[in-house]
Amino acid sequence: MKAPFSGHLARLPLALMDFPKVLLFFLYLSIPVTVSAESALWQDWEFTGFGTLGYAQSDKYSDLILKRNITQRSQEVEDKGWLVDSRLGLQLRKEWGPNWDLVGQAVAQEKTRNTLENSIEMAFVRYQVGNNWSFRLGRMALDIFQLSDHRNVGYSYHWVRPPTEFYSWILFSHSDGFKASYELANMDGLLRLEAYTGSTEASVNIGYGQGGSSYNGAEADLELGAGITWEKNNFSLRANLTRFSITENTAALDELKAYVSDPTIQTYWPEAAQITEDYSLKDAQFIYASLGFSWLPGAWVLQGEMSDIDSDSFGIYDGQRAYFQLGHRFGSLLPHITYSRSWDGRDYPYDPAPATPAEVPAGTLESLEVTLIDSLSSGIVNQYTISLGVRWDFASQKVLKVQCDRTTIYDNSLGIFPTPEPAPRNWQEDVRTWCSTTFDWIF
Amino acid sequence: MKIIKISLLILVLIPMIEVGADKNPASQAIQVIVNDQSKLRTLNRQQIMSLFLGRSRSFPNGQKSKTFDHKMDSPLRQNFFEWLTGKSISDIDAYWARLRYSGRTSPPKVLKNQSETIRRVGNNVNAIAYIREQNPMLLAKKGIVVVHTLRNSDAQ
Repeated sequence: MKAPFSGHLARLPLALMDFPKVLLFFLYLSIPVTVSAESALWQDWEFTGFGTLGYAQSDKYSDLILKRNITQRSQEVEDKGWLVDSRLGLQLRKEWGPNWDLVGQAVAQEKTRNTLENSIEMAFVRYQVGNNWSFRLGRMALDIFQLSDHRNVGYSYHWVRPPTEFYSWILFSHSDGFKASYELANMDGLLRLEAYTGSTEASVNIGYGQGGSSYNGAEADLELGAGITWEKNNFSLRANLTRFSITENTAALDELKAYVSDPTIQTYWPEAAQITEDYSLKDAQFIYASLGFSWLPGAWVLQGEMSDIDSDSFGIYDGQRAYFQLGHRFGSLLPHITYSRSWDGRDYPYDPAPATPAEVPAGTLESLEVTLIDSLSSGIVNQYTISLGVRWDFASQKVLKVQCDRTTIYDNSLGIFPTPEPAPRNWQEDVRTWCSTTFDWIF
Repeated sequence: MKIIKISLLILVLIPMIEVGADKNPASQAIQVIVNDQSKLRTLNRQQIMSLFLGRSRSFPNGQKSKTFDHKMDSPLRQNFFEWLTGKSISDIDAYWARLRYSGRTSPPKVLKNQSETIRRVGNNVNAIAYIREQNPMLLAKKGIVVVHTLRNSDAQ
C-alpha cells in the first residue's frame, strides 16, 4: 500500500522550517485525513491527533525567560508567549492481522531546529507474539520516565506543562532503535518489563544567544535501557534505568576547545585545556534512573517521580530531581498543586587563572576564565517550583487549563531559564512567578 | 493582565464552541454482552475493567477478546465508564489519550449505535461490548449472553 502522506511529503523539501510553517504543513496534512476518513482507502487506518493552544508569560521578566524545554529557542519564546506550549500532533495506526501494527506520529512545535524529519516522534512497526511478548523496531518515544511517551499530549495530564525541574532539561524526545516488551496481564493487574536500545539526537538553545554556536546539536547512543511497570487497580509504579553516551561535542564546546588549543593559551595557562576537556561531552557516559508512581483513589490524584542522573562530564546536568502532585476532581474541575525540585549544587573547583602576561593582549586569560566559570551555569538546575493550577474539562475531549508557577532559582542555576545578561551572568538566588493557560484537545 | 484577559476571552468563547457533554439521560441499567459461543457466562467488575481499560487482551478463560465502544460523546459511554470505574469520563478519556498517543495500544473500536453493537457481538466470538438494558431472552436469540449488569448505584 502507498504510504500515507507520501504525495504531500514529496511536494515539500526536507528543509529547515520554523514552527508556524510546520504547523501549517500539519494542518494541510490533516485535510485529506478528514476528507478521506470515510473512504475505502483510509478505512483501515486509524487517524487521530492532539493539540494545544497556549499562552505563557514568557516575557514577564527582563532578566529571565520562561521556557518549556531547552530545545526551544530562547528569544523566540521570549517574544511569542503563545509558542511555549502550543503544538499540534497527528497520529496514524494500522493493524495487519492479529500480530502486526504500524504507528506513526508527527508533532509540530517550537524547537531550535525544526525539520519535518525531527518532527516525527514515532514511526515504528510492532510484532505481537501471543499475549505476552511484543517487539518494536523504528522510531519510538523516549520512554525513560513517567510522562516521557505522552508529554506532548497536554490533554493527557493536568498541568499546563510537565514539571519544569524534572522534564525541561531533557532534550531527547525519541529514539531510533529496538524495544522488547514482556507483559504479564491478568484480571487483577499488569506487569510490564521492557528493554531497549537505539540512538537519538536533538538541538538545544540553553543560553540566550541566537543562531550559530548558540544552537547546539546533541547526539547520543542509548546503549541499554530497561523499565518495569506495575499496575493494579488505581495504582501504578514505574521504574527505568538507562545508560547512554553522547557521541558528538556541541558546536559551542568545539569552539571553546579550538580556542584553548591556541599556542599562546597553552603556554601561559595549560590547565585551561584540561578544564575544557572536563566539560567535553563527546563519549561522556550517563546513567539515568527514575522511579514514578500514580495513585488515583476515587476523585483524588496523587503522583510523583524521582530521578538521578550520574555523568562523567563536569559541565552538564547532574544531580537529582523529584516532584509530587496532589489534585482532586470536583465534577469538571480538577484543581491541583505540585512541588517539584531539582538538586544540583556544583561549584567550579579549579585554581584561578594566572594573570595575563604583558606579551598577550590584556585580559585574555581572565576573559577565558570568566567564560569557563560561566559555562557551568548552563548545566546547573538547582531550583524548586510550587505550582497551582486547575483543569476544566468543559466539553468532551476538550480542556482548559490555567496554572501559576512560583520558582525559587538558586545561585548559578541557569540550566533551563536563560538570561539575556552577558557573561559573567552570576545569577544570585531569586524568585520568579509565571502564569500560563492552555486549551488542549484530542481528535 | 494579559494572561487574565486571554483566560476571560476563552471562558467567554467556550459556550460558543460547544456546550458540555450530554446530560445523563438514564437510570437504565447497562448490560455487558459477549457472544454465546465464547462460553463465558459471567464476568465481574474487575475483569470488565481490565478488558475495557486495555490492560488485558484476553478473557479469563484465555480466549482472545475484542472490545467495542460507543461514540466518545455518547451518554451511554459516559454512564458505562463512570459506573464501572467510579472515575469521571474525562479521566477515562485522558487515560486513553495516554495509551493511544504513547503508541502502546488503541482504545476499543467505536461502533455507530446499539444495533450495530448487537450485530457485531452476535457475529464475533471474541467480542465484548455494552448496551442499554434489553430483554436477555431476546438477546439470546441473537447469540448473545449478558455477563454483567451495571447500575447507577454500582458507581464507586
